Amino acid sequence: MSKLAPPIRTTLLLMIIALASLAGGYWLSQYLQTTGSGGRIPEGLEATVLDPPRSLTPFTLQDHNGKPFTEQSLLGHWSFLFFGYTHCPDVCPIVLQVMQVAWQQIPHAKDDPAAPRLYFISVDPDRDTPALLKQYVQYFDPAFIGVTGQADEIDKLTNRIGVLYGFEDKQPGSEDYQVNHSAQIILIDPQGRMRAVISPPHDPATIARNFTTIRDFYGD
Amino acid sequence: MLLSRPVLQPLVALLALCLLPVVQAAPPLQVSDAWVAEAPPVATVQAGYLTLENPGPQDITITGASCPDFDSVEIHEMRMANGMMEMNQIEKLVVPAGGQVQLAPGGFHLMLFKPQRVLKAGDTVTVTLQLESGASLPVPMPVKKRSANDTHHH
Repeated sequence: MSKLAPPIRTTLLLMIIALASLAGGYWLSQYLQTTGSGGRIPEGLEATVLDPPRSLTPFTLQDHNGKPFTEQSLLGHWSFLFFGYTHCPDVCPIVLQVMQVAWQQIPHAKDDPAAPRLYFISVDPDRDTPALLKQYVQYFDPAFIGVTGQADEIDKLTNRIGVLYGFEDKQPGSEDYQVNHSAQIILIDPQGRMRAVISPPHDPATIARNFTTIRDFYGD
Repeated sequence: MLLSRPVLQPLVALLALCLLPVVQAAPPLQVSDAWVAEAPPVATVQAGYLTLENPGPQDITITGASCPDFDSVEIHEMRMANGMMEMNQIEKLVVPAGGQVQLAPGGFHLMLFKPQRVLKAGDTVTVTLQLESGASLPVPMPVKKRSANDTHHH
């Protein structure tokens, strides 16, 4: 018995240290979440919240009316960004349909400049003209806005927020190719900063609830 | 009893023979939940969905599809790869014996290229599936608006 005691004592000591570390880590994480030093994140979300939010770098695209769409266009209201292309048979129409339903569940006043906006950003500018994009997005909801532009300007935005896309079988002059792309929806706050990432599978009620929670938590 | 047993037996056999080819010719592939998603009128592709069930003892392979209302039809699969949704053409879709394959939003779908006319909810198109056996199976597919709850199997 006395021979076994030192190893047991060591084990106990290690266990106490481990438990103390765990408790300390837990306390620290709680402390960080509840103090003003950053790290404040609302609870009960499926979306991934960025805290602190990530600021965007300048880019220049065009909206579906041909007007400039830049990082400045994202100021003063919450924005949902979804990246895709109109030759997409499945994912893009599904997400736009989901957002159309979510839109009905998100309380907002029409024609209010501070109302949230949804931007469908085409990463396929060779086929998606602003005029075509306008007809495409407004089929789902007249409030939705199509955006596209030069590939290098699109990349400034996608690289900054971590959205991926790529072309498959794209030959010069060919209209017949596919585009692989991320299916995340990006939430931008009224200060024009990336605030949250909503990952698929997308559900309207979940998106609406997550958005209102985030908006209520961080404010307009 | 008008028919004596010696007469009845060959008649029954004959009747069975007549039925046999009918049973064999009908592909034992059952289709349900077939629909085409209405798309914005400017869209150059549309998606079709259906559930294929094979109650038979042998696998059934679909090698192609066509529809007079579209330029061409392919079978595609959406899947997540490298953080992106990728779409791949499926050359041969096997419906296993005693099993089923669902073509549903977010997974497999019929990729319908270049609609020849604007299709609205309420229209019906007929997609003909080509089977490896040489048989073909016409499938009437009503056009419907998407609903936000279409993606249920992921």
